[in-house]
Amino acid sequence: MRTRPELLSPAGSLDKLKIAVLYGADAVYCGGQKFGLRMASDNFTNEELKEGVVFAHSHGSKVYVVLNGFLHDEDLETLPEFLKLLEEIKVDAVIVSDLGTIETVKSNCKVPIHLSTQASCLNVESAKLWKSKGVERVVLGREVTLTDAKEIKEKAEIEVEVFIHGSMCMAYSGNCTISNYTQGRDSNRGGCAHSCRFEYSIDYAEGENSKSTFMSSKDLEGVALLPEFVAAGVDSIKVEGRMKGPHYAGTITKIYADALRELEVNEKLSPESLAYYDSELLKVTHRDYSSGSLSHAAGEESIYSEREHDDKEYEVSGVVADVVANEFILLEVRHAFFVGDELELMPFVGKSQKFRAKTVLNFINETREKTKPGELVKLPWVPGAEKLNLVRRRLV
Amino acid sequence: MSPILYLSDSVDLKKFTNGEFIIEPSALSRFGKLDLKKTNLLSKEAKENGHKVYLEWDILMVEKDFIKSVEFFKQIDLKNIDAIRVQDPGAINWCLENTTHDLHLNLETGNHNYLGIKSWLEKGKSRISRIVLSIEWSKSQLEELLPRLSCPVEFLGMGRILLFYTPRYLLNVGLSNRESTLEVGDTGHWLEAAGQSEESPHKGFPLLENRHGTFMFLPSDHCLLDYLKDLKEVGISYLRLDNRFMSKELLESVLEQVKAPSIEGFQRVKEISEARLIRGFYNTNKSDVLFKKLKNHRIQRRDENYLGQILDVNKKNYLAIKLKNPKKTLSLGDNLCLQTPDGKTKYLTVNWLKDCAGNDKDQASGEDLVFVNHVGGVSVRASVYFSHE
Ligand code: SF4
Repeated sequence: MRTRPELLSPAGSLDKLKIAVLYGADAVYCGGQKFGLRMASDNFTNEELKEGVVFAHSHGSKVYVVLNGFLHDEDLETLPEFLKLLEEIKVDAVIVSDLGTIETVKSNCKVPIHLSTQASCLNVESAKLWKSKGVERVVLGREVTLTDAKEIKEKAEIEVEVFIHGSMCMAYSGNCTISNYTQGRDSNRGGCAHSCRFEYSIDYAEGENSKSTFMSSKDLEGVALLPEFVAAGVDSIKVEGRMKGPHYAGTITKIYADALRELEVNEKLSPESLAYYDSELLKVTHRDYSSGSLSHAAGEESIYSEREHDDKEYEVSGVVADVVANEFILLEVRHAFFVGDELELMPFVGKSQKFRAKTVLNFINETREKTKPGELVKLPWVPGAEKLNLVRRRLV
Repeated sequence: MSPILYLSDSVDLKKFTNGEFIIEPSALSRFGKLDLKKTNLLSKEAKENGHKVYLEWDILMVEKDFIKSVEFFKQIDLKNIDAIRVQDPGAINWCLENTTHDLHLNLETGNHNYLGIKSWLEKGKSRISRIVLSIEWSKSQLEELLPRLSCPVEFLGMGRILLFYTPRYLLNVGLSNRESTLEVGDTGHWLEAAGQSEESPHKGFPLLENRHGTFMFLPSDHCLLDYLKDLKEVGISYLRLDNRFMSKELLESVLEQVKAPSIEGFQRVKEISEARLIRGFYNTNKSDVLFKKLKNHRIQRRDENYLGQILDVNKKNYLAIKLKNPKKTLSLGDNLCLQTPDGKTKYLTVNWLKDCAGNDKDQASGEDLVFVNHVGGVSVRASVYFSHE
């Protein structure tokens, strides 16, 4: 088989970084307190970044730090200090969106530069230009097909990273300023208010009218196309979602890691495993899935015709905080559940194990009939359980 | 400041002396309507009337479209073109390597700092004769930037504000009577509408779908026609007047105002304009201020005294602390300071310390999860620090 692409997962916080790494991410991307696009996400303090890099490296994974806001002059003033820290703690690359940031990185450190999808790099000539400016890898725009990604990689002789899963901007990345003008929040410096998800009534010049979420995109899902990613020589497959929870970070990473492992042995994904991956992907909160522009330009089937909703098949009940073998697992509860509920433990590798919460005790062994988010409870021990495993519960 | 207009059949070229016009072939320009023949014809006519003609190539292109665009570009009669206006970095690179024309670099998206602009100018060397800046630059930022630039700058004086650009066709889908004679994406495909949402205070966003995808504009238009002296002083060399969406009457009063600025002239422009006129970010750009408040800074770890985070609180019984600072050891008798997400500060002396299995401990470190005696008023996610009080 061709070289296995790197699996790059989102890490919105230190906890999520650890979960993604343990569930099989070859690399994670995260943001510091400034310079990124997800200002409402927890993001990392400098100390947490240090800890995250040590943790990831000790598990053989890389860490990329996003500096992908369209930075203004005043933002660049404090960037050199942060870059020095990133170099010192041995971050593996920075992800940037504009030339000013690239120049600042080049003159302050030797950390490799990846071009963010925000820069909408869509063609060979564009990739050549960015390469001439010192970029080692381009995160291609979501409008690029896998066939084009192959061509860009080969003709521009540059590493390419392609999104495989997650929410999508309907606009060309970096080309939406709805929030800037309607909410006073710069969407290209982390203030996007997701106005594209609103329902709009549309009055056509022809006299017709309609009401729809016409600017809302379905979520990207590309597991079935994974063999094509490999065949195209894509260097890194990227999962969107730094704002999403640990269930998302763990589950999505695990599915794509499992699928990549399968492709190391076989050329194709078997219909059975594909059905399994699909069913697992449905367990995570998502809008309807679409393959976006991976095979051909996204058409009307990629428009998400519903207002946002909260229907979900599964929710994360908690994260394993500790394990006392043969006795109990200590769960940090994220969503409430009841004593007697059937739960599923998601090991880092392999299929989930169902178990029943026959007993639910707090630290001083009092029975908890109903748990509440933000408490620690002891559950019956499950063989193979490890710290930071996710435990989830079926809702429907 | 020289005004620049878009060229179309409705512009009377004879009315202008040494004018500057942008020509927009439909194949290369976001809002262009001209086919090849018309592009060549109009640019020739403009040249014959003594005007300058700039070719707009501002679409963003995936590889397949890029190849088609280059094919089209090669058929244009370039002797009637004075400069090429480019935006996609691919088009910039291609033009630098395959043409000898001057380039006007459109830096309206993603270029908000001096270093980046300087780097673009270095890339283009003497070929870049003009840069087009985003209207998100405020006056004070322009005042700092422009004296440092070696290249003349163009700024939007009046016109629509583009908010959103996607290659996907989003409007056609909502029509019951879909276009039948013209395929979506065809040269003549052009669909206009207005959108509004109950979730947005703004009403009537102009929408447009054409062969290049779907565009959304702000209902208000950008207008700096009462700041012309100011713009000149700041150092703006060229003022673009986006006449593509203007009535003839409005364009006339706009040109009059540019020629001989006056309060009355500006009032007249305001009266004729169907859209409300705004100055956007010209006076100030504080679009990064609000979202800094979206985050709770109290729960972020801050200094070397940081120990970890509260994971569980059981009233009168215990607190669970997740240790997160590998350099620190927690010992019996230590004094801790706890900072809650809602801003309270509580103090605690560690009287007992246990591991998850309930075993008594004297010390804990690394990433241990430990249980200690309770103190009132503390909630989950509180940050734990060593206290020196
Ligand atoms: S509003 Fe939608 S299209 Fe615009 S930046 Fe936000 S997510 Fe992207």
